[in-house]
Amino acid sequence: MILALSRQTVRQTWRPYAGAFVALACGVVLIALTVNLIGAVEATSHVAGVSSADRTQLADLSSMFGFMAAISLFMAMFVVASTFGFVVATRRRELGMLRLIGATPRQVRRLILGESGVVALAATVVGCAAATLLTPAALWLLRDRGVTSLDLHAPAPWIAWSIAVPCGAGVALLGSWRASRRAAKTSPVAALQEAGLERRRLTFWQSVIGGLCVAIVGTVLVLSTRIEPLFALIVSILLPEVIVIGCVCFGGILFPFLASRLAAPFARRHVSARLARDHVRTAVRTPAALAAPIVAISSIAGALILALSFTADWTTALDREQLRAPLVVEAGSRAAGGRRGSDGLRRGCTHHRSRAPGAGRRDRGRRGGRPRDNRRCSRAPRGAR
Amino acid sequence: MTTIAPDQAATDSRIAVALDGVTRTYRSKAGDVHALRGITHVFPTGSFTAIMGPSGSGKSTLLQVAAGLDRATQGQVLVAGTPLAGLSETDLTRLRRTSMGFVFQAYNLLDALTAFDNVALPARLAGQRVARAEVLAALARVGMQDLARRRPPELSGGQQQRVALARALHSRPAVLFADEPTGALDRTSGRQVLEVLRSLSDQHGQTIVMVTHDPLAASYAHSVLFLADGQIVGRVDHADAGQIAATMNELER
Ligand SMILES: Nc1ncnc2c1ncn2[C@@H]1O[C@H](COP(=O)(O)OP(=O)(O)O)[C@@H](O)[C@H]1O
Ligand SMILES: [Mg+2]
Repeated sequence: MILALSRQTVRQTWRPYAGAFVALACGVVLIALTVNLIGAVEATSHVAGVSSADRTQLADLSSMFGFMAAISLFMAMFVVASTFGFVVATRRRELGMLRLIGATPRQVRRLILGESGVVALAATVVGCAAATLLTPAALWLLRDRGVTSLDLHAPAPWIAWSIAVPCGAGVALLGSWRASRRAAKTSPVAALQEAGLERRRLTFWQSVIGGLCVAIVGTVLVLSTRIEPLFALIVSILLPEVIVIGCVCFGGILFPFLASRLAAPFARRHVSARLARDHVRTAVRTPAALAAPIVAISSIAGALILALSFTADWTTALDREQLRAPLVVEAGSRAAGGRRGSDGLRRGCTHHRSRAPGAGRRDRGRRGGRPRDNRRCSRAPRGAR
Repeated sequence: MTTIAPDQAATDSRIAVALDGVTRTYRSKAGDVHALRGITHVFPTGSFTAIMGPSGSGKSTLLQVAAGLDRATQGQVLVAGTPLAGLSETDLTRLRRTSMGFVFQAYNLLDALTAFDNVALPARLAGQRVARAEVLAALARVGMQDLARRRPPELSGGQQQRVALARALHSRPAVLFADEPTGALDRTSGRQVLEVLRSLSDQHGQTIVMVTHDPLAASYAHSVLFLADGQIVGRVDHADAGQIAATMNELER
């Protein structure tokens, strides 16, 4: 009965759940792709005539994917948590009404968990289907880009499914756990109250974790000119995550402030813009919840682009002469809200280039002479080896 | 005012709600607010009572305490023979399922559900089987049978209020609490809602406690209680809107 209500709620008011859905689906796709890749690598390494160098290369590749998948699941959890925090906060009156007409706290809790289950179901179905469709393309791409010269074959799809589905469901459940507990505490009197102003206050853990994130980002910034190139790359992949966590912690203060600043020039001219600004300023959770998924997803994408260009160039490095402006790296990281990260990355690379001018000399098998901007920095680890 | 012996009220099925020496004090930094200062009153089964009073006189607080949504600081509340003091959150929820219905000024329904599902929801939450015909009969009772498949956003304010009444009608509560049920409605739909309330009381013996500040709305009730400063200061029975307004003015002077 409660599950039917969950399903209906998500179907009728799907908008706030879209962020959680996309983030979960991305996580599931990556997990399933990783499993398929590892499966393919496993199967291929047992074929006779595979050199140990090839095997190491493939293993590196799968661990890189595994790393990305873990990160994206972690991010998805944050997105789910912020989505459901938002859903519960904006539905206080409705949840109070439910309590009033006879829903027990446990039923309210099951309602919220059920909603996250519905989102998780949709996301895992879409994610698994997408991953299954993408796997041949990914394997082809790896070969085409010269990452491996081996013929990789995708394993049976159900192996990936059986791992990705529990991962997606678990992440959704964990993400909505706290929100469901808060929902259960809604008093029936909330049904009678105006949806008053939300308080803009940080909890203890929010300030501790948020402060830690700011500290990490600050440290990396200060040290960015001095860190090793390989380390710089790892940092550039991890930093967006740290920034996202910081944003989620401080989001209740940060996003309404930014939104009202952004709206200021329009607000002076137009009354509806002014209304929108005031709404954003007072309803803390709305901008925070809408911004969190965007920030998180772009950071997953940014980190992914970095990692992929890194992977591709791991084996197919290129000549220094063809390097140009770092367009892709820059864009990927900026989308991630990780401008600082890309800064650190760029400096790391520049620094490295000046130190090891002949990094590309042992390169082999780069096909075509097309300058590929995104490989600029990815050259670093090779030189570092 | 007389004191009610609890065991007498508990066994007397002619009493829907009994308040005995109820006070409610809100503590705040600026000082205590005495929202209710000793209310003793019996709402007999089948009665339709309006509660009137100036803003801040404690009308909403009285309703919430009577419904167990807020706890009395002192005194006793009995609903359908059950003393509310000492009931757990879950016990109170169960009691609300079987004994109480609610209609407020607005936002009484779940937007995700159709009118039909909204009416059936309390029974479903209680784990009961829902007979389609009964739900439709409740909707027909308030003139909403044709719009059973609509969702609240597709209904007017008055239609939404009538669906909320159908929900209360379907679960057959011992008492229906209404706080300004016509407060957000225009005259015509307000009158329709009041007529439904009156006929629920007259034809089904539904006990109704309705808070309002509108003398016209109060005139639909059998009796009107006047509240001022957290106390009952007057009462009129079977009065018309003019008499009620006159009494109001008199008490406010
Ligand atoms: N949650 C609360 N905290 C503090 N004071 C309250 C609270 N609710 C109501 N009051 C105070 O109690 C008094 C009665 O309020 P209420 O019952 O809402 O009056 P009415 O419904 O008649 O306008 C008012 O003075 C109000 O300010
Ligand atoms: Mg009131």
